[in-house]
Amino acid sequence: MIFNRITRACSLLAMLLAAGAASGQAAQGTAELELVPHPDLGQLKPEVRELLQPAVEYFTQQRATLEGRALGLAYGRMGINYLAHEQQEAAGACFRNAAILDPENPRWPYLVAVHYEETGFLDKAVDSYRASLILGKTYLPGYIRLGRVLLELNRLPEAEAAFQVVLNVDPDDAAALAGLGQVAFGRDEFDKAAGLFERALQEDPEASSLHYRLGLTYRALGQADKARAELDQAGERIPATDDPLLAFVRGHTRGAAHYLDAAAEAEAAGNSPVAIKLYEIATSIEPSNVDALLRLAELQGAAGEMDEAFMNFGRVLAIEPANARANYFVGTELERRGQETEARAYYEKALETEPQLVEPRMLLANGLMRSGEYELAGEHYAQVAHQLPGSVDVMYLLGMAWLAAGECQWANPVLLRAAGMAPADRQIMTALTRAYSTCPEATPEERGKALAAARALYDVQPDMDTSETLAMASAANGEFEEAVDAQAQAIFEALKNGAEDRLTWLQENMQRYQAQQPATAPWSAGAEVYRPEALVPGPGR
Amino acid sequence: MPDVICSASRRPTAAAGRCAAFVLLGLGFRSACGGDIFVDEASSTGLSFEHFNGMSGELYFPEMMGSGVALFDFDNDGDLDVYLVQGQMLGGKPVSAATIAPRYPTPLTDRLYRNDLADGELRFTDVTERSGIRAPGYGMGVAAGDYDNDGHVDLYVTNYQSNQLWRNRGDGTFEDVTARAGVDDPRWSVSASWVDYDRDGWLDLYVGNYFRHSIETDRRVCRMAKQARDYCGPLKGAGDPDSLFRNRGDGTFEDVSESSGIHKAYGGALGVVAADFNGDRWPDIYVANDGVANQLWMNQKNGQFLNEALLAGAAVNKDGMAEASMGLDAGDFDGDGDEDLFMTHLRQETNTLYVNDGQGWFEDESVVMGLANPSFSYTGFGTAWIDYDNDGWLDLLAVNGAVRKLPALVELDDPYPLHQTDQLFRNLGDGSYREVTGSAGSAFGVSLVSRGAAFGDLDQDGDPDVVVSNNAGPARVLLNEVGSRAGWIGLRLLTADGRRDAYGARVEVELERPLWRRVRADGSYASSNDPRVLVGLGTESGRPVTVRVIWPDGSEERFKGLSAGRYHELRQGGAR
Repeated sequence: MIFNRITRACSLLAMLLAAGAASGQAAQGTAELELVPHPDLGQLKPEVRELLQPAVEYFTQQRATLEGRALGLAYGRMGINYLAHEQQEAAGACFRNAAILDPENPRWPYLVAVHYEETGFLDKAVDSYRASLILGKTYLPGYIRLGRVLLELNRLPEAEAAFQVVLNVDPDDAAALAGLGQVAFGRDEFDKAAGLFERALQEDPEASSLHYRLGLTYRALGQADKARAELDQAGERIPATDDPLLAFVRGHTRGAAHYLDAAAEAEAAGNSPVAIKLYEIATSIEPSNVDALLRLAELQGAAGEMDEAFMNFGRVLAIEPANARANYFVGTELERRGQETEARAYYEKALETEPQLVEPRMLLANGLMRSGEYELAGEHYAQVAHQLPGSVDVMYLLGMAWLAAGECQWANPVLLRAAGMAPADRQIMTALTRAYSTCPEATPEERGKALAAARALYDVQPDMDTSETLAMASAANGEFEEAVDAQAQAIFEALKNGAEDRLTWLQENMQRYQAQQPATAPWSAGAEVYRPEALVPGPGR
Repeated sequence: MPDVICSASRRPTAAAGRCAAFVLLGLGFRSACGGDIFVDEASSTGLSFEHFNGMSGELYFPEMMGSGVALFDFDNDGDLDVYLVQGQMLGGKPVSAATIAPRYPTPLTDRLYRNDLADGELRFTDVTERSGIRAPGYGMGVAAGDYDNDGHVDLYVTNYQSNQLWRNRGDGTFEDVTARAGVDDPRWSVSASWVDYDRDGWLDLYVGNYFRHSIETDRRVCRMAKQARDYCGPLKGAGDPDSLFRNRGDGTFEDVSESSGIHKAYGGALGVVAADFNGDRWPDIYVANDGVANQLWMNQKNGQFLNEALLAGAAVNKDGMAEASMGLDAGDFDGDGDEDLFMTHLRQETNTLYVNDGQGWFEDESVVMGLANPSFSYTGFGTAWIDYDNDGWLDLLAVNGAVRKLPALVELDDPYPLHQTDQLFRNLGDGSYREVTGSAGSAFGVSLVSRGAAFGDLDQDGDPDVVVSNNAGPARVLLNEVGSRAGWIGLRLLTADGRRDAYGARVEVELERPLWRRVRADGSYASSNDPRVLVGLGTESGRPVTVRVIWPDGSEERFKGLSAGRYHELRQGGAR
């Protein structure tokens, strides 16, 4: 059973995530995947082994259950860990597999390119950088790296084009200026090269290697003194390029604990975006850290990054299928996506683990209401009401559930209590009035109070609902003439407002009133009032 | 096409014999030997040297750095003899503690092999014992040169600690004159160069010192990404300055390291080459340093040197990065009449080619020349510009071997996971190189921890051969099988008294495309090369040639009517 649920969850997540990608290509089959030459962990330095082991174990476990893009992500995460610890062969294989399984994700060809670059396969690095930049056209550090590799290959026109892309976006980018300077130098355009190197140095004065280039350029221009002055300042620091993806990879060389502490600090400082990044690194290093994954997912959810949150809660469920918080969140996300039945299953799963949780029970009850399972919904609302005795909303919904279930004798005291808690609440007052007016067990006194309340409601706001309520209460008290008049007005308002779907119900009651009979139910079966609103897609969607 | 290579061989070498056998048997000739440019003939020629590095599991830094080899004619019989530098135990451990037992009886010493070439057949005889050479130091490198102008080539041996100067008595024996000559250097020396820097007619000595290091105090434990321990690299900031000894001409030397300015720069020298880089006819000195900016000591003609490497563009690569330079060579690879520089580097750097503009200013053109990418995965050591196919263009050979354990070999539980294959690059004559290792023959498929390499015509057939010294491995004699197919001319340039090779002399072979070569023994890594000039004539091989010589003292001379296909001795002042 558990396995089925895991499988179903994973499959569902994979399906949803794949659907979320703007993919025109189907993920390719696993037959094309290459065998990853995992290093023997026993031979690694203890500190490296300690960092890699959780990732490898997690990956090994995931490898058997995942497929498609989700498996691609798992390969990618494993590759990042390997790359961070200089296990190039294994990293390369992981990234190539990730790129096959998750073909629309630009980070995999990018990291394949980095792997090729670091192992000296520069032509392949160029191809992979290009593949990455086709998928992620706006990732500027990629153009810088591509340009530098092209310079290494002496492919000056292509390098120039790569650097120019960056300068089109940021005309002051020191790395791109320096790259163009090298292109100019390579073409013996020394005046131009000098200008570009000078500008690059202006933008990034700490890039001491530019003094060397500038020195050689001055030398080529015959300005030996200037050349010497520059060369004396030469160092090895190249112009800085902010490359978030590689920073993320490099982050894996430190333990997860470091990033968890930093993430907690960021959260405490109210800096959620930074906290999210730090949790991402931590959970990439230690993929089975459920607490970190949960926190990450929750922060992502709160930030509107629903797809990411959904995926990370999915990762939690793959580790702990019964995790209540994850089941709850996945339920909410499925509900937002309109998959009510599946959502309810996740709420139930959450409640199996943590029955005291209010939110999943409320959402479950709401879902049951929408699916017409009123009695069961009522039981859940009742439990919540027990936990939250001061909640008017819960009391109201409980009352409505019993009304919908035809159990007005249980609904009436609940609604009466709700009305007592919120005397001015028109919605509660309407429900109570109609309940008293239609419930066979209502006393004459209750029916009289209902008529008084209905008249008061109508006086304040004479509309379709208050007219219908007044008609219902009048009929319950034998005032059929008033009931017919009020019902006629209700029908008129319905026609005027285009609420044709209400007409049948209104006319049935009209016939009852005309036949000197009271209404038998406060609302029609399945009326909108029995359907609490479902969650709507969040801002990140 | 297939059988040309073997049939062109004029001597009945083992390789030729094998080829003949294949032909007779009707076997696939090309696959057997048709593609071999070089063939390893170490065992068939009797040069069965095995380097002992004394490793005992402690991973002492010096044990994987040696060692070198010298090609020199110690007995003046006209062919090249071989001197191979040997290691020892380190850290006071007994030989019994060695991971790989030495194949020689203790005490271990460097070994001298006499070349008994006869009728084209190459044969080496170990004459170490009778030569009197007892080299008990932990050997690194060797530089051959006739320091006392007596017509017999002497040897300066660099060691992990004290160096030795072996004077060639001329009777087949050597004597240790280190103390008398005053050229001991107790530091860790690797490469040295004999150069007459003051042009007084006596060879002076430049000694490249590596890093301050002590087995006793270097307690670092380095590890690869794997758990396994790994060799440590040089300590940052521990570079030693080099030494310059001026030859007084009386058998003694004066240490002029301070007064000459050499001590003004610290390095980590592994390769040294002397040449006139700015065309002023005074020898300059280029030093390849490990991980530290290289030095270009420009001769100020007054006994002093100035390090101009940075302005010259030869201190660091084109990215402004200091590289781990190991072996090197200077030569005119592009035929423009000046000395360019090539040096080997650490894995994941690239080998680097600095092109001279004629005035001693260089540009790193490694990428353009096609030399960067193919070297990325290798750690290069010994190297030289040689014209292996005698087409008139200087090719490159680099011998390789890592200094940090190679993960792929560790995975295979390799007991000494540093070995790599060597590489050969052909000068295409259009300003670029192409790696031709794949077609260089099975000798280039052998993976060893190569360090020193000395280049010279061992079998006197007019093409350059190579002796490679492999750390904790067998020395290899790579005989060139293809060069003798093309035209060539060999020149031995001698000083006016006819006794000594005129180190530093430059030769212009006056062809339609002039070819410039230099008399040199230095360069490569810890090794000493054949000082003779061997020039491939390519298509211009039929007629006699004229050569112009710029002698070490700056004077010029032209020698006319030199026939191709043989060696000539050219004595300064001897032109007719």
